[in-house]
Amino acid sequence: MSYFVRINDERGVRRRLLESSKEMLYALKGYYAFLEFRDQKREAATELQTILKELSDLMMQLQQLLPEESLKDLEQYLPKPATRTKKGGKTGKRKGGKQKDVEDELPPPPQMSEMERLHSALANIEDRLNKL
Amino acid sequence: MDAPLFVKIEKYKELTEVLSQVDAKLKEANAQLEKLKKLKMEEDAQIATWEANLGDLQARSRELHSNLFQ
Repeated sequence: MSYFVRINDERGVRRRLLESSKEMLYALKGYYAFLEFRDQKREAATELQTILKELSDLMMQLQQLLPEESLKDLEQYLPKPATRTKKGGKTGKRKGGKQKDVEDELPPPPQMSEMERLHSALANIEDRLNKL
Repeated sequence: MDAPLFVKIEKYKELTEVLSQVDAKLKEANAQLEKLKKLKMEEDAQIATWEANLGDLQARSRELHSNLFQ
């Protein structure tokens, strides 16, 4: 079933429809500009991360050059990767007569993420600062 | 009052060079942060524009509605 609707201001309706379409196109255009900003932001953040890593290396260099700290001193503040060790050097003989290292039976060491490593290093520095 | 402390710095020149590298890197980091802030502001401006766009569209939709159905 169709209805006929009387439009008093025909030009006004057309104008409003066209203006609405225009607004929609501007909004879509803005969407692509927004995506571009996001890409640029990601690039800038990555660049900043690189600079901060370089700064961190330079700070390590500085600490090495300063007299109180040796490289060994600095290394102790970084968490050491977990190592698999033999228990007291004892190795058991298996029934079949073949020897197998105890380390082969240990589960793989937990991998520290970069965030965990940084967190641990920060905790060490905080600890040292508190002792000063 | 604490007595002054003198420490021996063996690689003084190298130390000053690293210090100036640190300064340069800090400037770079600041510039990058400024860039990020500017981009964030542009993003916020875009969101405000969208808000205004939607407001206009709503107003036009209401006008069309009243033209067609009243």
